[in-house]
Amino acid sequence: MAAHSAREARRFMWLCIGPLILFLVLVSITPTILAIVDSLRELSLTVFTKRGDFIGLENYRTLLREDPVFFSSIGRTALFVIVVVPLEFALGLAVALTINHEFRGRRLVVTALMLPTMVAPVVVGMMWRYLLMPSYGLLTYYLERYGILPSSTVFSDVALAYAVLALIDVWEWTPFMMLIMAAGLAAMPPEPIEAAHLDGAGPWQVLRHVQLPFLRPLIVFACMFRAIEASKVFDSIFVLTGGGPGDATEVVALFAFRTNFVKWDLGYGAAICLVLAFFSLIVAALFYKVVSHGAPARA
Amino acid sequence: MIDVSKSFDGTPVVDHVSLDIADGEFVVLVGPSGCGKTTTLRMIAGLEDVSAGRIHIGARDVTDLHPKDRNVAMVFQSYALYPHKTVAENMGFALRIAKRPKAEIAARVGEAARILGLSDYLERRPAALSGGQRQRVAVGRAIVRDPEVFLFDEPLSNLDAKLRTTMRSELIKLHHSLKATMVYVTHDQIEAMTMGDRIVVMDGGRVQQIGTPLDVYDNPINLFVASFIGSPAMNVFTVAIEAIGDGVRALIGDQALDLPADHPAALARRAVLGIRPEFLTFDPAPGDARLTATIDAIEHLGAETLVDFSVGDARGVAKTGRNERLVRGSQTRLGVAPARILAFDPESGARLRGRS
Repeated sequence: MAAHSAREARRFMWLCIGPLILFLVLVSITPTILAIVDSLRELSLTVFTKRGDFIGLENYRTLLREDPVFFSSIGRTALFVIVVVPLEFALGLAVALTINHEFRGRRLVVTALMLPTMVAPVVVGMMWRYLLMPSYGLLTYYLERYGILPSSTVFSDVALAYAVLALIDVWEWTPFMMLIMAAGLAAMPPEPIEAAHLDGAGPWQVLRHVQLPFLRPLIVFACMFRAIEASKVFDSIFVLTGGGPGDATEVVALFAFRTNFVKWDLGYGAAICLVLAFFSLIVAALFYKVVSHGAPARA
Repeated sequence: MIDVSKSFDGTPVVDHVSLDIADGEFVVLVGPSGCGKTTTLRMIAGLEDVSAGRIHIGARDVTDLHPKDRNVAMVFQSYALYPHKTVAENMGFALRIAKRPKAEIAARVGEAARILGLSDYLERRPAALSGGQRQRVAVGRAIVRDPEVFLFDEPLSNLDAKLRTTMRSELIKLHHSLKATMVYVTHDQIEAMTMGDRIVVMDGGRVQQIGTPLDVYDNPINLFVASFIGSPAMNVFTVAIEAIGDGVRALIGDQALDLPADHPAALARRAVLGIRPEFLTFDPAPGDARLTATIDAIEHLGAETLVDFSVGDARGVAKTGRNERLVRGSQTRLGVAPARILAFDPESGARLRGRS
């Protein structure tokens, strides 16, 4: 009887996790293996000799040793992350602190503030594209009219294009930070803050000595999460500048995309994606370590 | 505090409270939950605005001052320690904010830690401390400040019973050695009785009575105070009064309690009689008012015995010394000196004072 029910239990277990395993094999494991195989082959559709041949680690060698575009795109991505994440954090925290008390219409305000994050990134890109279009853009019109920007050059100036993309990302993702920080602040017991007030601390000191330490695990989580997300930024840049002018805004996701689906160098593209996946894995492991060990104990 | 009121969204929580606390006094605000005692304390701290009235500390009117400018320190029920700071950093935080020299901070923290027996824990985080130690740190944080007023908001409620008793006497000792003004909020009438120089009994946002613990115990101003202070609680019997010969007779169910004509209840037609459990005796003396009661339960506490009894529909508790002769279910004579029977108005609950 016991053996029977144990077998029964095992069968039930496989019944439960079977579909998931099948799903993972189909959409994750198989493609990964295929990508690994492809990355070892010459698969450029623009080459006619040797196409499909196994060339060992040649793709990786070229990528890591000889491709300046790869490293500059990584550099651009890193810069992007370093610029947007702290900005989004600081602004998100500021807004969260501002709305961290009851007032009429608070829910409405929070919902309204959340809108940019809720819109699909491609739509965000399209929205800003129309706003900033050289000839018809609504924003371009006012920027020109009030002389803030001389002419319709937003996406043709290297630094400006980069700055605008960063600003759009900040616009889009600050609400996410705000939501997490607001949740953290709301979850905070009021007494330590009151104690700090009685101890003579002003708002800045309360923030620094009480609120920020309390929020630390959340801050780590939110910033890491955003850093990983921002390093994968694609949609809005693809829609707005396509990586241009030149390759000034070609972040690494865009580089991978172009290699695969513009240059049709599929083997090389697979190698790029796998190298990126490897980097992500390292970052994710670090992330996990920090999050699981970084939480301060509560009193 | 002068005529201080507080309401939340139009609901009065603290209703015209006036309180004069002497320098160096230990005053306990006591009452059931929701009576406004904590709100009163928080208004003294400046954590709540007053809706009306003024608050003075010493010669200063602090009503409109920010908490940090009031020179008060508060110990919270939940300790409210800064979890990421060490014990020493917690205790020295106020001085650090005030930009005192490091040496002075270390000296004052060290001194407070010595008083509280925390010297070995200064480098620990609150999470590594027991509840009693955490509360000691919270007290230490207040001591280090050397404030004009110490405020305690149910500081012992989160501790277990034994620790509570220990901490209680430690706080009393601390008060004697610091000679500081302390305002202490509790719902525990035993804490109030044992700790306070004076106690303030509150109910429904109003001060019911202010006095020394024994004064409040012996001379409760109304039925609420009488029943709230004392453990086991005072026995109360609603009675009809009728005159007989040279006295009056109070009817408790089918029983009659004979009282002298000068008893405060004598002028009423109905009254609530209050008798403390310890004033009931099982061998009545001459002149005692007497009742025949049925013993419902006997609790032997060792040194003393609690006896649950009933008189008709009315129930009560008598407290006596060790007594092994009592039998559950039996009838017994209970006596009480008439002077020990307090009388209250059944409608208002106010104490009846008689002719005097």
